[in-house]
Order: sequence, then structure tokens, then C-alpha cells
Amino acid sequence: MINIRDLRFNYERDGFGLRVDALSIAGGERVAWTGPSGSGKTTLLQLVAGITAPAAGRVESCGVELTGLPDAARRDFRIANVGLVFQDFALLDYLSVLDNILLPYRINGSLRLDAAARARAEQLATELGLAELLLRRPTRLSHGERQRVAVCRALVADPRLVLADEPTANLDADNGSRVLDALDQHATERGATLVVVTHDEKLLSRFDRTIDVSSFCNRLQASNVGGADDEG
Amino acid sequence: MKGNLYLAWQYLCHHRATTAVLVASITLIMYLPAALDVIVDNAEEHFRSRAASTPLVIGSRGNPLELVLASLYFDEPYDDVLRMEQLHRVEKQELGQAIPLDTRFQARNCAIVGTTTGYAQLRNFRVAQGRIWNLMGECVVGARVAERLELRVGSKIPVSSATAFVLDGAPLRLNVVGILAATETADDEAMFVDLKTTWIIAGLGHGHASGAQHGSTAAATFTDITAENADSFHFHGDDATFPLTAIIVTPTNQKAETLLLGQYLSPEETVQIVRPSDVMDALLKKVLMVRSYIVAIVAVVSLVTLVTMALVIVLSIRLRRAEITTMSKLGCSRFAIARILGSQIFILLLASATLAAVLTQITDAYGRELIRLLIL
Repeated sequence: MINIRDLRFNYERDGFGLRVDALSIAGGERVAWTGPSGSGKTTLLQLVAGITAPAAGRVESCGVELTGLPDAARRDFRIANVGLVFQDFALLDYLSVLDNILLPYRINGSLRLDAAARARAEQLATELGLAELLLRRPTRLSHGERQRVAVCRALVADPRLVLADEPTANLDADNGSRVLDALDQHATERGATLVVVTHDEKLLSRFDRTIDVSSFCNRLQASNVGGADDEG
Repeated sequence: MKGNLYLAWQYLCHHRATTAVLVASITLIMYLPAALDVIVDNAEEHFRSRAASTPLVIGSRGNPLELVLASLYFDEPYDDVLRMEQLHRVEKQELGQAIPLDTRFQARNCAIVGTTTGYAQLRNFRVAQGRIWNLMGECVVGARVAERLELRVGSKIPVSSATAFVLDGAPLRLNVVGILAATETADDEAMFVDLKTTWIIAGLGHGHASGAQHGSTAAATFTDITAENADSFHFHGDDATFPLTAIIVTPTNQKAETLLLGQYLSPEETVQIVRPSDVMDALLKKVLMVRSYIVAIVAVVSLVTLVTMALVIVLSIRLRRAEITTMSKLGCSRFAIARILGSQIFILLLASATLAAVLTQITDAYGRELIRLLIL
């Protein structure tokens, strides 16, 4: 599912760099990525998602070789394969909970917003205890509720690869567990690969494997191999 | 609804206050020049049509515009008079139809127009109720006057002129015999009486019991002119010296018009003859010049407002950077993001244009009413 070989990436401004000689994650595997702040977890997640392009090396996700792909092709790859959960939820305040969940359908012409998609959104919302909040705006939701909406959005298009960046951060134990249950359930039912960035050691037992990303971190000098952050 | 339009609509609905301010600003930018155009066009049409249907006007020497405004629009009570002999002079030459006007008096803040039934024919009067005047003392009122003063056929209107009935101070009461259909012209705002009625109002004539000596108590003048006492009304003095404020002349042909225009060119002449359409053209030329200044000012203000709005939109896009980044990470292309933002601008412009078009239509529909309120 995910194969990384000889990956090099660095932010020229602060000398931060990643160096991954080899990393493989099998389809359907549930993996936790750990490491201290600034160790490159989010950067690696973005490289795997095709949000960021590496300077060198190979990144293959869901059978697609991302290295060298143009922006548009990497976007198409994400739409077709990846569900993303952001640490800061990244919900749109002006949309209702239901519209936030359906956002991937609204912004991507290749996804068809039909009755099945709506039913899937409502089903996910019900599973995550949001059924009563579908018409509410995110500003009127609690932290936990917002993160659950973000998880619903990540899962609504049935992605083969779910990348969750600290989805349980700032959540209490109950809410954190609920979010992970939903991700787990999706991975089990759909055979999807799940990569979760977390600091919480108590949660690690829920995953098949834990990878310490700090081992890839490399504080490079400016003269070392460069990288490109193409989409912000 | 397509995704980009839906998202744009939701964003605008969520930020109602900002949207309302933007729509109001753009609407004003679109509406003001359009409304100005509509109002000026209406005014132009209004003035030109009235002037065009009044070929020539003769009046005492003075400001031609004042003469035209007083004779065509009964703008203000007009005190510059000419004598009936001027009417006879035109009639004697048989160069056209001459219609006398006496617009010196008012009743209940409405112009009293003393004239002949020739005026009713000239203006194609349509009587909504009652009939045209036949006798002295009878009066036909314009549609708006009737509405405002709640007049009906049979109503009496005391004439408030200070000079009325100088012999004993008793006010003449005009008898309403007809109400005109609305014409959206100055005729709606006036009362029409026989020319002799205005002379009676001026104190040049009166009626009293037959055989009574002037100055005696038996000579108390009638305040109402009826079929029974109409014969007792008489005038003192030479009718050639009786006053008029203007004479409308419809020449029989071009030659007659030229001859008439030529007769009043002499510096010794105490009267003038004007072609109202020429006078109104000169006035409208000035109005149009003012309009072009206003349009220029509105254009500058609009430009500044548009630049400000563009700045507001650019700033709002910068404030939405996080949202745009999220969309991009979720797979939204730059083009799709641009379409969402473009849809917002499109909705704003569409809403503003629709609103401005509706307002302009309303302004156009009530244009004549506006002209009446603002100008007449």
C-alpha cells in the first residue's frame, strides 16, 4: 500500500530534513506514527498523501508512484484514494455539519454527490453520534464533536488510505476512543490502510505497528538535498 | 446546485451583514447613474412633449422661461399681464387659433386658469366626471386637485384671492362641474374656468340684483354664479384693456408661424412671442450638462467604491487562506477554488444587478410622479 524508498526532503528555511531509506506499510495495516514535535510526522503524512512532493526518492501510495507526478495528478490521487483528518479539524464555519462531511463531493467534480453519498454521510454521522447535529454550524460544536465531523469527512468517500494527523489531540479519553473506533471500523470493514499520527502512548496498543518517525528526521545543512512544498 | 455555487451561496448567507453591505454598495453604483438617466429622460420627455404641443406663446416682455413655465406648467401665479387687444390683434389676422390664458389667481394653493374651451380642445381634455364649463363661475378641476382637495361635481371652491370681489369683499365661489381624467401633466394640478371668471375674481366684473345702484346695500354681489343670475353679471371698462397673462397660438401653417414670430421682433413691442420647444430646449441643454457632471462624479465615486470592494474581496481571500489550503489538501484544484470565489462575486453582482434593475424599473414606472413631485 505504501512504499517509500530513498526519500529525501527538507525545508531549506530551517534546515529540517527527512531521510527515509525504506518504509513499507501493507494494505489494511493499522500503523501509528510517533515521535516528538517537529520530528516530521506531519511532513511524512503529507508526502504520502501527495500534498507535498519529495526532492528525491520514491513514494508509492495505493499503487501510485507519486514522485514526479504533477499537482493535478496528485490531487486526483488524493480524491480517489485518501481520507485526511487534520489536527486542527479544518472545518468550514459557514457550512453545516452535513455539508462539511460532504465537502469532498462539493469541491471535486470527479466525486458524484448522489443519494448514496448523502446516505453514507448520514450513516457515518449517526455512528459517530452526530445525527442530531447535522444542520448545526461547527462554531456551535464542542472540540470532540468537531473532530468527529472531521473524521466523517475523511471517511465519507470510502478512501483506501486514511491518514489522520493527531486525531485524538485535545480530546478527552471518551471522545478520543470514539474517534479511533470509527477509524478502526472503517479500516476493518473496507480493508483500508490506516496511518495515525499520535503522541498518546496509551493508544499504541490499538495499532498493528508503531513507527517512530524521529528516526527519519535529519537536521540537514542548507547545502544538502532540497525539497519542494508545492501546495502550501 | 453546482458545488461551487452552493459553497459560494452558503458563504454569502453565513456572512449576511458583509454580503448586504457589498450588495447595497454595488446596487447603488449600478442604480444611481441608471436612475439619473431615467429621471432626466422622463423629465426631458415630459417637458418636450408639453412644449411640443404648444406651438407659440405670446406674453409680456420679460424672461421667456418664466413665461413658458407659467403658461405651460402654471408654475407660479403670473403677474405680468398683457391686454385683450393683443388677443384681438392675433385673431384679426387669422393666422391661427389664439387661446387666452389668465393664470394670476389661486384657490386652495391650486392655480386657477382662466381660458376658453379652445384650451380644452388643444389639450384634448377628457372629463372623468361631469362636463366642461359653460358659464362664468363654473370650474373644471384637474385629477390631482380633485383627489387632493376631495372635490366632486357640485363642490364649491371659495376663491381666496385678496383682490377678489373688491366691491364688498365677499368671495366668489367656484362651482365644480367637471373633473378631468388624469393626464400626468400640469393640467392635473390646475382648475380651469372661463376667462371672464378670472376677470370677476380680479374685480373687473360682478353681478347683483337688477336695478340696484352700485354702492347701495341692495347691490351686494352674488357669491355664486347661477343660470338665474348669470345675466346680471357685467364688466366695467373697455374689454380691450382687460388683462391676460399669455396667449397660446396655434398657427395655421408654417408661413403663419413665421409671420407671427416676425411681428414681435421690434424693440418697441411690449409683448414677446416664444416657441416653447425652443425655450425648453435651451433649458434642457443646461439640465443635460448638469447630468453629465453628475454622471462624471458618480463614475469617480463608483470607481473608488469598486476599488475598495476589490480590496475587501482580496483581503477576505487572504483571511480565508486556511480554508483554501484545506480545500486544496482535500483535492480541490486551484481552478475549482477560483471558481468558488468567482461564484461569490458572480452572485454578488447578479443580486446587485437584479436589485438595481428592479429599482430602476420602479423609478421609471414612477418617473412622471417623481418629476411631478420634484419639479412641478
